[in-house]
Amino acid sequence: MEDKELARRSRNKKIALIFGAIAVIWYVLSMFTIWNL
Amino acid sequence: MSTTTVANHEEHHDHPTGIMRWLTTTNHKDIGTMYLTFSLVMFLVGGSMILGIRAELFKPGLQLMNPDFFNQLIGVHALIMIFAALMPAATGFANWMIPLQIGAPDMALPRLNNWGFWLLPPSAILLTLPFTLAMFGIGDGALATGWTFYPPLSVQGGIGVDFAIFAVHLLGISSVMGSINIIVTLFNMRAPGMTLMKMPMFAWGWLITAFLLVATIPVLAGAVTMLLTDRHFGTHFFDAAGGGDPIMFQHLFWFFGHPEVYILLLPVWGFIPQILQTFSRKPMYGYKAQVYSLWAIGALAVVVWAHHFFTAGMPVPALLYFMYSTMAISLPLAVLFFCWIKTMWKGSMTFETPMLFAVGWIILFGIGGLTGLVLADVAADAQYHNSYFVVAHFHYTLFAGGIMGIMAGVYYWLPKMTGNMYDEKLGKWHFWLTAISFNLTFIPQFFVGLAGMPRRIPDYALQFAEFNMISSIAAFALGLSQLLFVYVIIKCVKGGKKATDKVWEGAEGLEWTLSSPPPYHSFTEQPIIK
Repeated sequence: MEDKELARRSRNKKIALIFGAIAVIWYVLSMFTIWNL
Repeated sequence: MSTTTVANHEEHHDHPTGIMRWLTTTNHKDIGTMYLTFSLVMFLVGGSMILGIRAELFKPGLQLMNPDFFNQLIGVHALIMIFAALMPAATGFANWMIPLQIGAPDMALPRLNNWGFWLLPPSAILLTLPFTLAMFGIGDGALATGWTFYPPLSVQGGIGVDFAIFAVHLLGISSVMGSINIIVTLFNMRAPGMTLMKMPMFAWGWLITAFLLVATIPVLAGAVTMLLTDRHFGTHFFDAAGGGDPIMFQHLFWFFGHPEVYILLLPVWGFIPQILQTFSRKPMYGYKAQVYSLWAIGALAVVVWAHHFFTAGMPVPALLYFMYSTMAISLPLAVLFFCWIKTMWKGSMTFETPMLFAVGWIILFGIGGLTGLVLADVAADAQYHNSYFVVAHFHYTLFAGGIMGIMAGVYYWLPKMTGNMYDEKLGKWHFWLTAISFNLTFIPQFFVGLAGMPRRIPDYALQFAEFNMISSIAAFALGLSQLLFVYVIIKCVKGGKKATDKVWEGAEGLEWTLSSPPPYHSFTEQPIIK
């Protein structure tokens, strides 16, 4: 596989992980808002 | 837009066949087809539930079912139509068309894509299983809270609520995974030369939808998780008797629920302009204005949620804020309407079925939008709230604005997907039957709503009888018309006049440079956009 394609796949995974982490953190945070509002 | 290389049309057959192809596929077109098929099946399931409701409402008094079962049908109908019919349809189109439109070989994360789809059938089973279990004396049926899960009803409800909570978790995971896949695909898989501002409008609509999903689905999941702990683990988040706050659930739910409306509509706002430009045979008007308007609507969508429960009580400054911010959405939406109409202005228009649906969509969705402005008015909302006026409004928004839009997309892309032309005559019949019966179903509901008929009741006062009778007869006509839709699709999939690669004379975009149907592996050589 070309280096360029490997780099792209690696970038795909990084972006996915960032948004996945945002979703999980947001899920947990949303349950804490109940005590703050 | 022009391309310097033509896609590689060579077919590859290195994939499993039969049932294993569909279970294990990571191909975006296969997964798109599965999403669209699932959506069609669930559309019929959700539709038949509402026909049960309309049969009960045909005349005053209780005829066919007890009130609890009536409530169960209402809640599951909504959950199915939103999560299992409309959202998967839009995701199906995203899977099919986004890689083709941006010149990518597939979605960025194909295995995640497969997983995202296969979470849907178990969710659908979880939603509908309580009906079957109740027949064998297990539990008391599906959730009877409406799709909103409001406590205290949802805290006190039977096992149907638990099934629905788990179903929503699974559907949420599926949606978030699908959204992440779309975001990554659009950010990292575009063909060389395709800048963000050269992306097709459908891709823009979906990019903003995906952001909204990642921003709001976790909040819904958090809310229903807390509901689950209230029901089974002794917490009192939403239970007033234990110091909890049921209104807080409404805030959390609608923080997701209002953007959900735009999640259902933004993909449609993406491809309708493409259909309008194709059949007007002139370039889309105001591309940049449309993109910025979509962003503005996406941003406003997450800050207006409390207009869904003005009557639950909140401070006057909050009422005013949520009223004005809701009304502000009409400004970018008006820009979109202007661009859609201007795209058609002085064009060489023809009215094939996709265009009929697109033009009908503009008018009917316009009614949905305008009646939404009425509901956004705090003072007026006190009368309209929880009435059939609201039911009519959101069906103009979600049936006309959502499902009829999706139907426009189906007729537009079906020849590209199958390689066959659909039956144009039957398609036009389907449009007119749908448009007429839809209006006859829901216009009377505006009237009875204004006159004070509350929603979610199996019985009503005598003065609403005539309008309800008209609405019920028309609802059955609307339901039967959809069987014609199914027939047209099956007939087209099985055969018919061969479609050309471009299909439509005025079609623009990379998907039309591929063969009809496209090869199993599309764009094995990336096109370069100038």
